[in-house]
Amino acid sequence: MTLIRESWTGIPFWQRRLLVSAFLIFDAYLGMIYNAGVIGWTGLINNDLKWLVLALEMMAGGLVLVNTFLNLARARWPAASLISTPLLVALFGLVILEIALSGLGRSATMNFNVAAIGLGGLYWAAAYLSIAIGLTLTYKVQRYANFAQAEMMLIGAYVALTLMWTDRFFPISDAPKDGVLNWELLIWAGIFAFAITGLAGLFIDRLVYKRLRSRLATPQVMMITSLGVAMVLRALLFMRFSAGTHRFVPDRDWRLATSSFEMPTERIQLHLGDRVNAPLMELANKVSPYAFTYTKIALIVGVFGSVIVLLLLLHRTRLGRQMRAVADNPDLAASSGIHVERVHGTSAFLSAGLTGLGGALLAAILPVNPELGLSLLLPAFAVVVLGTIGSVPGVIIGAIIVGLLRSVSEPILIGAGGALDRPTAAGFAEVMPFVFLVGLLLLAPRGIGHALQNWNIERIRKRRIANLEDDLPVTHDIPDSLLGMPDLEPHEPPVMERIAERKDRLFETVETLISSAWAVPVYIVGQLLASVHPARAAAIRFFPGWRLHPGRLIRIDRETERGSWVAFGIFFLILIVVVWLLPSVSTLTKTLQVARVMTLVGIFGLMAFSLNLHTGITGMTNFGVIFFVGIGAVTVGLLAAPVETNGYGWSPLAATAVAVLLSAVAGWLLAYPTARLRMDYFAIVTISLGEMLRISLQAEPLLRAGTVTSAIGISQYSRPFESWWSSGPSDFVGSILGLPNGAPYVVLLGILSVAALLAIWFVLNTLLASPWGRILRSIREDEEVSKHHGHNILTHKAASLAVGAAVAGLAGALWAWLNASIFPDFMNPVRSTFLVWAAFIVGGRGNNRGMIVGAFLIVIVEFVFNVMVVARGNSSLAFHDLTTYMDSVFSWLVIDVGGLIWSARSISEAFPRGDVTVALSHLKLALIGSVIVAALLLSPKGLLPEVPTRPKRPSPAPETDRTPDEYDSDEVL
Amino acid sequence: MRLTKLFVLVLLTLGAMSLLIACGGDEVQAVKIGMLSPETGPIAQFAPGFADAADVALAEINTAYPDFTFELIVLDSGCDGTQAATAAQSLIDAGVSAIVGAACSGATLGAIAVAAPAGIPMLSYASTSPAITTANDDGRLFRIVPSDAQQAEALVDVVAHAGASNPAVLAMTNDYGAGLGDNFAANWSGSVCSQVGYDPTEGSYDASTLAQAVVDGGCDSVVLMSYGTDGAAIVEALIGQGFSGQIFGGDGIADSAFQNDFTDVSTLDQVVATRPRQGEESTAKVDFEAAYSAAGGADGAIYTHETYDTIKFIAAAIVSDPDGDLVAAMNATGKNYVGASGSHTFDSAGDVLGTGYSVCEFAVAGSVVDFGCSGTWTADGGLVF
Repeated sequence: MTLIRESWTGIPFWQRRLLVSAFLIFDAYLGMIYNAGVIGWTGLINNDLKWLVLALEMMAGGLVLVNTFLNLARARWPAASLISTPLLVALFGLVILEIALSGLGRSATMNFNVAAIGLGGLYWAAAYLSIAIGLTLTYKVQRYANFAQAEMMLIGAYVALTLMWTDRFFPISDAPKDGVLNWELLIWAGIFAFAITGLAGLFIDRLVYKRLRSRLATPQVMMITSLGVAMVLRALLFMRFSAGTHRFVPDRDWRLATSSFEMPTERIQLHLGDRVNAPLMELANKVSPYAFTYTKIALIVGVFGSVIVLLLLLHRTRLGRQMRAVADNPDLAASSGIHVERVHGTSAFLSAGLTGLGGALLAAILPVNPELGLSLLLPAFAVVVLGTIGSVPGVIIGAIIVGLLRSVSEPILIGAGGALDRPTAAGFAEVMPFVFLVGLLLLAPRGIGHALQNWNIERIRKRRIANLEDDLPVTHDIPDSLLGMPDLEPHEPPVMERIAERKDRLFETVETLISSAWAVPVYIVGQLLASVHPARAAAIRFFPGWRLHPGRLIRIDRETERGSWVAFGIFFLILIVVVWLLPSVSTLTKTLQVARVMTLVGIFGLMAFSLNLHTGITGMTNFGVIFFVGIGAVTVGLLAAPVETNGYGWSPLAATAVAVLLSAVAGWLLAYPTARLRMDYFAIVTISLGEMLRISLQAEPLLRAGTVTSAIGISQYSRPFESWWSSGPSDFVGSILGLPNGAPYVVLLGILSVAALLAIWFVLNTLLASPWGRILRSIREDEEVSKHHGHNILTHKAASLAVGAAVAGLAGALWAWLNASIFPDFMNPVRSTFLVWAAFIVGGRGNNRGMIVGAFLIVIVEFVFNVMVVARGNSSLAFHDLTTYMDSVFSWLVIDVGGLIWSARSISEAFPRGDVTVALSHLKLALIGSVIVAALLLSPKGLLPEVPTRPKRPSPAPETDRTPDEYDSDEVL
Repeated sequence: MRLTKLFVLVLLTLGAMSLLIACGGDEVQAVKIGMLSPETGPIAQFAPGFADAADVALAEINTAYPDFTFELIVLDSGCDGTQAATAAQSLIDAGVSAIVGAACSGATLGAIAVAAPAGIPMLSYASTSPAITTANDDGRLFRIVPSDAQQAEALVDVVAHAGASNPAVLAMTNDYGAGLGDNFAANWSGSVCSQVGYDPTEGSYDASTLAQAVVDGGCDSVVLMSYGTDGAAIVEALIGQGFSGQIFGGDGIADSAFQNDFTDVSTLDQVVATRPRQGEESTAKVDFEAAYSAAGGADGAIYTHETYDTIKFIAAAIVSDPDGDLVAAMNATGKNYVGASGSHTFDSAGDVLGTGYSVCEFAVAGSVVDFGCSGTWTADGGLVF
């Protein structure tokens, strides 16, 4: 044994890896062609799953091979190896497909139309870039991930629409086709979209982010705030413009099917697999030209043009230098006389404005509804990460790569999907950016921009050396070169400098304009805020005995163990009372309602526990809660579904065990490639994984069960104790509760969920009180220090990820049982991950009691809002007057106030029936969003802040042991 | 931090909320019908159409049955099982007799898990997934949209009759599109030139790429399983890429309102689409469409006829036996019930059998679009023109 090990370790590392990869590839090859090898011989896995596993095995071998190659080549050809890596991986993927198709005896034809791929790729690049450029700028200067960027695009699109609906421009848009392109509306729409969206961005920055900056909020807090801002903005647009779809027509001729350039093109046909009489590759004859519409050209030119102008601005003007200085080190920038806040404002204006411009141009291509932009946001994040966060040239290259990748992958997926009985495979094109991103981060964890930067530094260094060598003899020839040094500048061609100076002056003017335009809303908001004080004074006068300083009456320090428990008890009681008060018509319905609340609190509480362990305790920003939950839910559903409907017929409990285990393994494995990544990278990778699973649910037949036709979704799976419950306990519980028939199954589910929640709470608290918990916290506080103390960071992070993922997997199982079916929309991050994040932030990071309160709160909010909507149509309810009043205020705002800005047509287009009413479901989202923002502004630590674990001291700490920051937040309240 | 104003703020808000909720116990005796509509989420753009159609139906039933006061409560399903189930719970808490909806199949299945134990029947107006048929619903889940399988058969016959031999299938990757697309491919006897799935959310797909795949594959015709807006974008892109074959589609595009999605209607010429056939000599469809446009209903809507029918159907069932079992009444009413979306009869699983399909065609002369349904398709009779 030892002999084998020694001889194995005796081989050089790279040779060992080559051996492993060769074994994997060879074994998978045997399995595919001869049904032999490890998988063929054991015969445990069959059908589609076998092919999937074989393909994965071969891909793993290929990745090891490529990685080994990269390690060897990196030293000598750094740039070439980085660029060739994705190509090699893609090539290897095609080889796998070729072998697999040969083994299956099928053939696939892929049509690569050169112009379609190139120009289509550019279109995607421009669409992604318009959001990604704003994200990058915010990352660079303000240092947070702005989730509201997609909403900026939407604002731009609606500005274009509103402009089109004005009396001045509507005739242009409505004119019949005449064969002549009218540029007027398009250009004005672009300008207005840029300016108005930019001002909106500036306004939000001043209103929200400036306050956060002033209290040194972490990027995490800013990121979640932007989530709240995004919810508010989108909901407002929904309310104003309704959910309907509208088309932006800059002039009918722009949008004609025939308004396009005919690009001559070639078509390469690739035949893979068991091809009969067909070559591997051939050029198709008789290829009709590819029509590229004018609107897409406008988008590409507009977006890339504005980004290049931005690059010039950043590198050629004083404002740009200031922005870069603030990005590098705000304190230093401030000390050298740069007005940091103004630079932040300019950055907010530009980042929103550029995306708004993109939105207006995109509106000329796509139909506009308030969901626009969401599907571009996550790929845009991938682009930003790919181009190394905060690098503008990086993001341009990243966008082009991702765009091309997407358009190249489409013919491959269509061809392969057709041959492999997966017609929906083309749906995977959407996740290609994520796949590429995750793959690239595995191989080159610091993105393209880093490599670019290195390459650039190398280039400059080489040039310097070359220059030095060239200059040396010259310096000898001209001895007075030292004297000449100060005179160098007058010798420079002055034109560039003068242009730069002009630009500087122009931007100074723009800045002044912005700040003066800014003064108006500041004044209004200031007036509004000022009017709060009289109101407060009036309130005090009204209740003379009651001071608005209850802190003096009751003192509970929520940052002590005891105080935290008391506060938790109070919050919990209030929430219980709210549940108790929720109206219901009968005992049965009330039972159902309470059981549902219990189950949901259990599920969301477990999810929040998981997030708290990952993010609150270990400090890894996990945006993929739904990924682990999804693994749990999908596994439970698939394994427990009947065999005749593509399931596996397991018992639900065994399926749950496997689901929890699978989630944990996924968490553990995730640590290896990602735990070393920067916080933002980790967040993007986890959210991408969730999206990949969601799209897989749409597109992969293996992830469907419950119907004989293998329709999308998983249903008909068995749930735990369901037959046991109906065999007796149901009637027993029903008689206790006073129900006419037995208690419904959801009652049992509610009990199970709460029990699971309590059990996991106990386990987690025990774990966190152990030395391991302290190590995790120390990793959060300072990785370097923990490393210095001899802890293996990677293992501890992996363990934390695994435990949290297992908890999330359990939540997924409960969720699957509650819904009784799993559809892809279940994994929508807006309804899962983001909600859990809201619970996490509002409840209090790092405190599991806070998680329960937060989860309870987000569950209850849904019910309370539904009660409000129910009241709307019923004149006898208390809420009815409120909703009527809201409708009249809203109508006044839209028609009378807004009417000053927009035309009557824009109102009648959005409200075709003439009744301008509030869409309550969107008002709900707006209010939830505002609550998130307000909570973060007012109480950044949440309702139940983390209780710091301090070693016991001989004398109790003085009561006034608070940081100045908290005094501040006290005063704000 | 001590118990500060934040604390009192939360206390006050929650207290105020509870007070308002406590006042909410109403005593008005009226028949309440709940409705789940996807007001937020991926198909929010169609929610205004659903709401408008429902309002038309509500006005009509309140006039038609003066002894009853019908009230419609619309809650947001979010196109998601969890949110729809919570909404269904709130509707049941409010005392609805039946729930109409939801649109998304996942939302419908989530909601029935709440409604079935509470004894409340549900009638979906747009869920086409086969999983609805097999749902564990105690016989309380009905739907008024026919299953994908039959329409796929109808489309196969229509496409074959038109002489196409090598059609491309462009289908959305949601349960409606993928189901219809798969069933079409399974029933089509010849070769399917290229079957491509796409996500209909705007900004998720590029219509030119889809069109290019059809052109490059050398397909002689296209079958679209789409909604209106994306269908129009794809048809325009097909024409733009020089595609000259025939274009077929399902009920997502089979409406004269489809032309509103076009910038230039001339590309719409000779597009053929199938949709559920209305009953013989029925004026229900014409009447509804007149009332819908008179009420200013939203443009580009889908499944409005079905939405209208579900509410009128529920009302008819309730009126037929006000104090009896609504599920039984629905099964009794659901025999050759003539509605705007066709004549409906429920089978034992709560699905409508359907009375076949109409085959319709767009004909464009200048800027005038003529939309006419000349052919019919029935399960036993096949295609008749």
